[in-house]
Amino acid sequence: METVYAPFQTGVQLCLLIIAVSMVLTVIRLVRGPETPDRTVSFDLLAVQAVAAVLVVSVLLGRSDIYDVAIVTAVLGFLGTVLLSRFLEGDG
Amino acid sequence: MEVLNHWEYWMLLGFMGLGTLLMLTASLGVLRMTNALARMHAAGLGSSLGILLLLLATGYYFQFMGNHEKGSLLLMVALGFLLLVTNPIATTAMSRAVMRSSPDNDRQYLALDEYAVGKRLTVPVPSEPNTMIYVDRRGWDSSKWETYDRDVIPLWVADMDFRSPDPIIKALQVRAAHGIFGYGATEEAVGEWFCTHLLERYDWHVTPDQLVFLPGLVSGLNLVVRAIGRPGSGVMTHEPVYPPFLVAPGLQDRKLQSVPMPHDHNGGLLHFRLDMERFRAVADDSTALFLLCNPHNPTGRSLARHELLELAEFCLNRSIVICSDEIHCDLMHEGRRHLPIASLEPEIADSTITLMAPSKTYNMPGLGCSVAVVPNPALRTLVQQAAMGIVPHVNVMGYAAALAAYSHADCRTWLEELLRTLTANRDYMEQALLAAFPGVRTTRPEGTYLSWVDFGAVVENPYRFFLNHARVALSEGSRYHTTGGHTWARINLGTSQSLLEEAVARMQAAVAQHQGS
Ligand SMILES: Cc1ncc(COP(=O)(O)O)c(C=O)c1O
Repeated sequence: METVYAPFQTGVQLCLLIIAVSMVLTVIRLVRGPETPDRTVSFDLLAVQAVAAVLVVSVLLGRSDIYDVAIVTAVLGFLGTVLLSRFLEGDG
Repeated sequence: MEVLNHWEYWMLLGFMGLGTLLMLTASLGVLRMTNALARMHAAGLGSSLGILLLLLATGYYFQFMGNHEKGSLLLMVALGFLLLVTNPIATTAMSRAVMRSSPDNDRQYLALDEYAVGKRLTVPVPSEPNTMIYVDRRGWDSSKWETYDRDVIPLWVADMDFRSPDPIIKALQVRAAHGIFGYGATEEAVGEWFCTHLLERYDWHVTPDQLVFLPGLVSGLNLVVRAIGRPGSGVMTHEPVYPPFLVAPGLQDRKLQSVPMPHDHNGGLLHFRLDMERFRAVADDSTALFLLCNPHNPTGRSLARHELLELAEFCLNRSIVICSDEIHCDLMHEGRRHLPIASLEPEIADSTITLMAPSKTYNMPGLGCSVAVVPNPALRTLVQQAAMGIVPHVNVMGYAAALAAYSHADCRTWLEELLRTLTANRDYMEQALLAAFPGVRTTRPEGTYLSWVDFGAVVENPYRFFLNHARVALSEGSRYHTTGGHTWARINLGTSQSLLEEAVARMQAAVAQHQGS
């Protein structure tokens, strides 16, 4: 059975931590707004960061089979952003 | 057994680390940037580069790990492709939306529903960091910049070349976008906020019913002169002073009783004061009104408590009504506190009409929103009667701007920054004048963005000389006096320091050439 180089494992955990912190920061802007455009931008960033988190987790667990989660997240994020933007423009 | 070499692990870690750090910078950008557009740029840059690095690292990692699931490489390529395609589309959609946000949502910026005292508006306005933004006003509907030729540096009429605070601009934009400009109903809200402002800044208790809103302070001044006394009554003031003070009595059929303000000097620095002796000597039975300007245009004096009390005692003893023009009240240097004369004692308030406005403070005099504070109901009725049928209401845009000025916390921060800028300009001008023109004397204003300078030692008529030979427009000293005053000029400091520097350089060159010939 393969083992993973221990410093690498720690490093990846650190990456996950950084992404988690980033997501918290993004959520702060999402909550604060003040306007819907600010929230849309935060939402879009949050979606991309969620995909990033899934990627890091996949490395951490050594499981590449969770990519479909990342794909679904990316698609949902994209649709959400576009729908929100459309709604803001008042033609959707 | 480890599948990858150590250097490969470190390389992957480098990619992933960089990717996640980019995510972090994107978040920090979104959090710290001041408007949606800047936030979008910050988010876009960090997140697309970041996700790309993470994808590369993950792909590489699983490619060489034994437990690579079948088909997951395909999924990964699909994911990369998806992100690369969707990201720009999402960004385009967002930027279109950011440019056009919904007007209903924007109504909050007008502060229409929040006027109860103590509920200071905290709707954050997407705003630039609070630095003064100098605007090139040439060609933009400006009396200051369009009166003289284009090559003249205008340092005359009292408005500034700085953009107003963002909440005011936003409020006007939102109000304009509403598209209806019928008769307004914001007077009550503005009144509430204005009273809060007086209480917070000057510890002065005033109620909204004591306010009379006016479309301008010069009309206020004339109204008061017309309202108090009768034709032929004496109207006393001090000079030098803002020219309408000297003109209003004549316009309203009153007799001007103007008393010069004596000045001391310390080196090149002038200090003006009130001459109580002369006031007592000049006042007669006809004297009905005293026109006070405090902070004083043009000398920048902010009168001290004892000076105000002495003046008030003189006026009260003789039943002279005080009209105090305090339009520059918020523009005080070095944290000095403005004292409204009416706030000192109830008896003074009872015979005082105070004129104020957000116009000088927030650089919006073109919007025509001012207010007279008249606690005494009898005096108030006189002023209202004098205005009746002649003086229009304040316009809806003026009210919208005033409401934003007094209700948005951001305007306070802007004001503090403005004052730092003005104090720096004041100090620069003092030092530059004294260094460039030996023998010239200047004030060091305690309030206002105006310097009052005696150029007598170098030129006879500085207004004409500097306009013709330096192409710098100052305010003409003689207009601030009933007679004489030609050697004086008023300099407007409400502009960029580099423009002031250029003006001083031109003036210095002109004087050098003049003295050489
Ligand atoms: C002392 C004083 N009063 C009044 C005004 C002008 O007021 P308004 O533009 O509201 O008539 C000024 C402007 O320079 C001023 O300095």
